[in-house]
Amino acid sequence: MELKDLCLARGTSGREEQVRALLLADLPPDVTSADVDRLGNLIVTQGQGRPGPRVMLLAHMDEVGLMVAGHTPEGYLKIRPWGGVLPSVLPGKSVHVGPDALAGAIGRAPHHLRRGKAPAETPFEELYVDIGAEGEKAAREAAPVGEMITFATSYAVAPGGLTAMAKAFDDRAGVYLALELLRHSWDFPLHVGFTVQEEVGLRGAQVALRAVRPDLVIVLEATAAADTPDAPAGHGTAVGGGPALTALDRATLADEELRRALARAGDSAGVPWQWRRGIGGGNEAGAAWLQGYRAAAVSLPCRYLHAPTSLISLQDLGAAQSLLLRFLENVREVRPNV
Amino acid sequence: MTAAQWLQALTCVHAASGHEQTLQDELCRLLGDAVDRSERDAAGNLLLWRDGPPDAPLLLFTAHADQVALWVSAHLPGGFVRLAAPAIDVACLPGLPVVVAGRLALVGMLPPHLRHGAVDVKEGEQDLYIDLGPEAADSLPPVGTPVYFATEPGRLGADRFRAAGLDDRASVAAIALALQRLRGESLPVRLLAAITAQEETGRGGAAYLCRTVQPDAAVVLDVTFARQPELGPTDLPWLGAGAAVGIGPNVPPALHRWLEEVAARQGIACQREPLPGDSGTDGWRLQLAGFGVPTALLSIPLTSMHSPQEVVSIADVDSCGRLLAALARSPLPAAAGDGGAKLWS
Repeated sequence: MELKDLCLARGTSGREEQVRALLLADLPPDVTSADVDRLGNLIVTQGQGRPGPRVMLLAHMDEVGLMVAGHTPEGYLKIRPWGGVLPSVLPGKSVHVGPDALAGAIGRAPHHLRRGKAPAETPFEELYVDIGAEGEKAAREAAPVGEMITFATSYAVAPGGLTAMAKAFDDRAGVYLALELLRHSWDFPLHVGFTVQEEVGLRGAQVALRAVRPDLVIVLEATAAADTPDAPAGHGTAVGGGPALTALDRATLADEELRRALARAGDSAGVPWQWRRGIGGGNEAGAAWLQGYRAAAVSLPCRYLHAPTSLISLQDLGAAQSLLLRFLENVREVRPNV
Repeated sequence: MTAAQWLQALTCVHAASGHEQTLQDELCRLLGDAVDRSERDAAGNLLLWRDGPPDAPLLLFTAHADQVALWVSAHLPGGFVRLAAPAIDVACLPGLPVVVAGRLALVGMLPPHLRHGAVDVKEGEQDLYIDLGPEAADSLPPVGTPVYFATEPGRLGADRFRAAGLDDRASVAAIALALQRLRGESLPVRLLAAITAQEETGRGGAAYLCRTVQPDAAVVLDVTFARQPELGPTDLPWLGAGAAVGIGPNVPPALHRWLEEVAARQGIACQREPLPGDSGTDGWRLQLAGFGVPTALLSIPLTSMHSPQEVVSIADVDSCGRLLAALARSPLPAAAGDGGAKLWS
């Protein structure tokens, strides 16, 4: 499976079927079990019963998007954010609506006709999606309230082959990495939780962890890159600087020994890596930590997180994979905390 | 009892968060033998059981027992108390009759004559006080005593019902109507109706319930915001068009389809409520209980939420009760959650 296929799959929180189906169709043959729990988490286990620390990787299948919230008399769709989407990224973008991925355009009255200064940010209540429906009834039939809307972004690699642009690198990049790590044969039990509902409150991981009760948790995640002209200096991560390790964010105080072991793995694999600067954001490591698990995250720097198109370095992706491979090879050397 | 009678009976009883027992006892009394057994758990949730075959799946209905209230926060000389008003729009309060420890009292307000020109002073929680009358000066209710709106419950026109605390008595009434309909019937499920405690103060009752029951499916009832004039054009549900079926991450698609299909078969009107994030109900917590609970959300549209004059449609409450009864008689959807499928192992 290519990263491209995962990014093009569509799935907002609670609607992860497409991603799960892709994964189920491409699991390595030597996995011991693959279970779907009642929330929709896919939990894949390799080497059940082997000695050694029980390691769980977490990567979430859901992406941010929009929901159909109503219809105007003219046949436009009213929308609400499904996960953390800012309204400012929406005007003028293409979307896919509903299970059949109907083409939609997020409209914007021409600036020629706008009286006075255009508002800096159009609130959600004023945004709408045009699916070409003639009137309210046609719109309601084509796209009932509650349908998922995703960004209609193709997957592109920039000339030179080092930079990729697509939707949903958060967290299909993490899903891709976890699947690649499952393709190796490990001499300890490795569990991967492909989780649901991360984007609406780190929810799926809470249930997935209860079913596995691992010794160590590593979260594979995309994180905000702040190496753009408009970003404050000294924050976030930089694309091209390698995978980012976290000491502290809004959700987690990372396990000290675990993050050191990850840093050692990066050094020993000879790949660049960076610390996440600042303490903004949070990921499933927080959910794991609050349940009492030893947890840390390996994050891929990603520009324009939660926007219709985001950007990563494929070198960073490769470096993250090398770092994680080395970490898992040496996982028995991670010292107990107590 | 009719829907209107249930609404009347349940809104006559006060039940602030943490003070739910009076309401729960009254509900038990009125339900009589419509339930097989009832118990109160350690968190103050009332559990109403309809037994079924021991191996039958467990279906959970929930509605919360508590209502928003004001609280006595400090004593003042002369028979006055200060109040705390979490989750309440204080604009409704000046001049409002209230009930404190069974005694009628009044939220005080400065008359326009004494305002020296500034007629429309905006009062905050810190400026408000309750007047219990001068004779109460030596017997003020303790700090922490709940203060209730003294709204007289009753009808507005033919189909609307007005009361304080319809959030969430409207849902409790719907569950009562369903249990009443199911009295004496043998059901294909074991049915647990939980009338939960402390939803309004952080969903505490549901948090406890998550650790003690593992239902095969849950239908969480609550009220939701209905359209009303000052909100302008909106996509909120209509009052009187039936209960709203929640759609979003809190509800697996198989469950919202189950509700809509059973409603359609029974000719029961319902609406859809888009909920792309936290549903704001007990269901948000219940869904993550144990290894996950397939949860559906059914909400009764209500205007002026958390005000002294909450309004619902009696027909909405009645049809919601019929829908719940029909759900308890139907097989649970095969693909509850994601099927809970064991693919291979």
